[in-house]
Amino acid sequence: MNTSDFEFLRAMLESRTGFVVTQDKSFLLESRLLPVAKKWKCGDISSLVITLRGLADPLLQQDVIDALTMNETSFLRDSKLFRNLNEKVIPDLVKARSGQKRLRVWCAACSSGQEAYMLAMMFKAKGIYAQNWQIEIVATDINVAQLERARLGFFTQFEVQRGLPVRYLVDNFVKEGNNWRLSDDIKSKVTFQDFNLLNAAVNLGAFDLILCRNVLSGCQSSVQKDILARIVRQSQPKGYLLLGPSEKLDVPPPFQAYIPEIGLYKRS
Amino acid sequence: MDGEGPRTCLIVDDSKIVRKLARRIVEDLGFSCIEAENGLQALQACEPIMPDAVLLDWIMPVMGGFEFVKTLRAMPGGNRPKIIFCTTENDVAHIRQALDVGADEYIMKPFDGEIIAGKFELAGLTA
Repeated sequence: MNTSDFEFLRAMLESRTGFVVTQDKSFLLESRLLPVAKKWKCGDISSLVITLRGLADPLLQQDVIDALTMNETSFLRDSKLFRNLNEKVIPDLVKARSGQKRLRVWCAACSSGQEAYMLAMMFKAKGIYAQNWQIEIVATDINVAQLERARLGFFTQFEVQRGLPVRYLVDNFVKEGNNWRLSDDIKSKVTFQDFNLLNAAVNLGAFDLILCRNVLSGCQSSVQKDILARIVRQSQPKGYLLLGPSEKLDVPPPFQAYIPEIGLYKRS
Repeated sequence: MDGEGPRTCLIVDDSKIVRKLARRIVEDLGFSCIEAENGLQALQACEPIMPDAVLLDWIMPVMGGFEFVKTLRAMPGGNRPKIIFCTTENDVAHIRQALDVGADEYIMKPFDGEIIAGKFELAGLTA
């Protein structure tokens, strides 16, 4: 890919999503965009960029953003994280909110939905739904194609073996051929929504637990700062924020590091 | 966890190729491995000292994986090893049976290094 095409795509991705890509990733960009170029009958990346520079169809633009923000995810690969959510965070929130019996969770940049569904399964396994709690799990992403996949709740045999305890698999999924379909019961516990983290989040409401794992480290520090400030505004007192464990980010007060090795913060 | 030296994993599969492949992955996770071709050989391997983990095929000649788990769990100290099935039997009925008899986790073949590493972690064997 030539430098000016790369520069155009880099700028488009950054202005739309906040993600920064460097020139050494230009091969990756190209391999992800070739199917898009083919689908839109552009021939090659250069013609695709020419089309994008003109008055491009918003659907084409969305396809480009989808291709470039495609991420693989797993249910909850990190067992320390699973244990802490299951034995500390969820019980603590349940205790703190036992008056109103209401909890709201936000999975920001949810990709194909595994983490959001995992949380729903954890609440179910703890019998919290059965105790008439109102648990709202809002999962957002800018990748429309991934959101559609997430809503289907349909996963390959490989995917259901990434971070999902087998007990959760047999309790919540039905096998269909070589794939596994999540039960309607669990699917109904998660609301998926097209949302860009660069936009104001006030309409999403306030949350007791916010997950934003391994997203912000791909952005410029000014963008990280803006998004973290918005996250703070959408968080409830005594609420939790979960980032990726190896992300080095300046999380503003009132959040404070709580369990650093899993990227967990708690606010006053 | 307890004891000294690397932790041990018993790999039970009638296919030499599968044992070799699994062994390479499990050794990379820091385990020292022993191999068995069927459930009976595996039980004999467990008698002198229980391994920390067992990676176990279901269908094998002489004694299958299900029979092995049932027998092992009834042996003195037989509750100690974490048992992870690793088999082509990939339907809900088989998985439930395995969990009911005392297996800790379940891998549906084909597997890769990431699946084994993830399941070992879920079973509490690593990190």
